[in-house]
Amino acid sequence: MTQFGDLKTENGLKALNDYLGDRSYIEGFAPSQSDVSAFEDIGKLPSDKFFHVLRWYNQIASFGSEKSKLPGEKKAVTKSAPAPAAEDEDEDEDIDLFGSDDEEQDAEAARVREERLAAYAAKKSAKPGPIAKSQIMLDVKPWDDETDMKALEDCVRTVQMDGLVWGASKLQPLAYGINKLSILCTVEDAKVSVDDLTEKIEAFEDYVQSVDVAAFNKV
Amino acid sequence: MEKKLIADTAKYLGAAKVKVTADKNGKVLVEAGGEKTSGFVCGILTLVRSQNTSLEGSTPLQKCLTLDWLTYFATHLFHCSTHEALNSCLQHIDRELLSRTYLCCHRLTVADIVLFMALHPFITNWSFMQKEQYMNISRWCSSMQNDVVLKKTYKPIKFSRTCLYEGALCH
Repeated sequence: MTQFGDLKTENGLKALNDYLGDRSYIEGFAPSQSDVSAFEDIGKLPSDKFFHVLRWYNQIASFGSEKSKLPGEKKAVTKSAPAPAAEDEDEDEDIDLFGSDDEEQDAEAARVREERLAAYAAKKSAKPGPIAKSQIMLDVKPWDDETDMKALEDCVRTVQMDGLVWGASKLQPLAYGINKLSILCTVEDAKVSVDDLTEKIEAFEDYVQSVDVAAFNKV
Repeated sequence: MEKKLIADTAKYLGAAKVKVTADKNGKVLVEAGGEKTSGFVCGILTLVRSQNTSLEGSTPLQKCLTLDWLTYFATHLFHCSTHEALNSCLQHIDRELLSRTYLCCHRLTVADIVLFMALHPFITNWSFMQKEQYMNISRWCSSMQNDVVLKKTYKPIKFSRTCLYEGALCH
């Protein structure tokens, strides 16, 4: 999480302004609680010198009372103010007047900490890990120039697998009036094997001569 | 261009049985669910109203702005004959995006989607310097391309801020 310093000061706002120059929101591509907490830290309408902050501020303000429903966890974006320094005199004093009281507080604090840890662990175990996905561009080559490319594409799109989504497709000229079909698809790595997929497409022997992977990108 | 954009928008909205044709004057005709409309703006609005009304905007002001932008696209952006004309259109859009996250009042509307589909082929070929020049369009585009539906069909574009071009900034 990026820190911007105190957002009430010019320097903090300047840092935030730079940061928001190429971002719409503080985290990711949708409004979240991090935006809300920064929004509350600023408190008032920023001056129009910081136009990126102003744009973002208005956007978050537009959510009105729905702000609390935005996803994500509240995280402090500003540096927390240094804790008030403990009084030095305590060290010199031998008599601990509030000794018993302190112990009670410690027990209470320990209990709260335990509870938080338990809640955090439960939350962590419930959260699924990120799903690895890849975007693949397949080149499907027909037998000759008389192959019906429309029927070929329809055939390819009939291949259904768990974790496979078809995207846009395009016909590209190869030579002698023969076209090849370039088609995009997104697959979940854990569920779909590319070899399996190409085999399934090559199974349409009437239309398909061969299938190549033209591009393979991790998403 | 308009024909392709309407077809793409229909695909985005998940509208089935949409027929887009053009008459000999170059005017587009849209036929969806037995309803016929002519012209780009009306065509898009009919599609949106039949599929996902929230994309038109929720308040009268938003609806007005959406209409305004669609008309701007149809009258200016799509008919740029020269590079200069296109650049002045882009500069106008960039200026408008300076003060807002989306084109119309803080929320995603069909105007954003149409503009993204129209600009995507251009922006893919932009150099980092051009992306820096149209900073606000770049920022808008990088959040648009993460839309769940758009992500599937459009190749992701890489945006990165380079200190090298800071001097070329024209804000």
